Amino acid sequence: MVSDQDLLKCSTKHSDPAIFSETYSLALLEKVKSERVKQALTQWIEEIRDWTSAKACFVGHIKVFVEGQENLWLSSTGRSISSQQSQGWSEWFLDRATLCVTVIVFGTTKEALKETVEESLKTCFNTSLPNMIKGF
Amino acid sequence: MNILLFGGFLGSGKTSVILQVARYLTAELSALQLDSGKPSLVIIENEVGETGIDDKILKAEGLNVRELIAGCICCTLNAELTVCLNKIQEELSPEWVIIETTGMAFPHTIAETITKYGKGIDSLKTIVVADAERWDDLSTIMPGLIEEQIAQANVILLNKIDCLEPEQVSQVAEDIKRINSSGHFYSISAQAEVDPQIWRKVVTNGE
Repeated sequence: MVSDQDLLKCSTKHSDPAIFSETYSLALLEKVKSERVKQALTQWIEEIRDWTSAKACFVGHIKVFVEGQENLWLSSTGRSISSQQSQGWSEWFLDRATLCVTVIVFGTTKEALKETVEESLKTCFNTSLPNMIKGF
Repeated sequence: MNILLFGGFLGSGKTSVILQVARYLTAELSALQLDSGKPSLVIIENEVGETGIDDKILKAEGLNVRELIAGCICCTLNAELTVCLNKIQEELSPEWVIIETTGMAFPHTIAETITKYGKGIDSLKTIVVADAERWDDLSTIMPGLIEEQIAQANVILLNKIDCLEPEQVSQVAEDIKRINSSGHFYSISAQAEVDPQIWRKVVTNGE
């Protein structure tokens, strides 16, 4: 099977970006206000953005989609973070949801990106929702 | 079928634009087809990465979306796109099909394939979304890709103009028109609601 890295290389004839793309089942010990999940994910995007900036990498895009009874969509190109949400998002209390993330960065390796993204995601959730994460 | 083929670099705002165009098409142009039971609009999503996100955003809006994942339709999934498109024509025969390419694709390459092998196509328009906020960076870092995406577009949407001063927007507009002087050009900010008259011009021929 051809990897995403190879695909982009062949399609662009330009640089070779690192791609991280993953789906998580987010499980919490009790129901929390959706805004706390948004806060954790916003912090995570900021950390990725700071990491790419410190490493002089170029962000293709960072995208997050929280899928459940309500939905949240966050995206950034390494500058501001744009946010859209379904109508009832702000009033939603959740204990589980599906979390989809895709990060595309030029100037780093797939391994370095994966390590940073996963580590940072855990840290941000543990900071924003301490002792609340049952599983990822 | 009328096909709107969307291109533009990663993060330029293609999905935000498509959401608004889809709402416009559904509300304004296809009311007559609603009784047929068939969707008047189908969207084909091509994304980089194993996890599709744009397709979920569009589906959450109630739109009819087909995904082509784990490949790029301007190279490795070229044949799959034609098969998918022809299947949509046979099964649904929608009035409109929107195709969202990956941010690294060359839309004109895809347009050539569709023109050659697609069935039941009444019109095909290539629409490229350009990122005003990152124009300077992208022009420096990957000028070849950006210019090639824009050069043969029928329509260019300069997005995120809210991130720049008016004189900066004018400068970017000049740069773009130097690359493609014949395409219809519109400056927008898809973060907010765009004037439906712009969408009318984009999906028709600028009349």
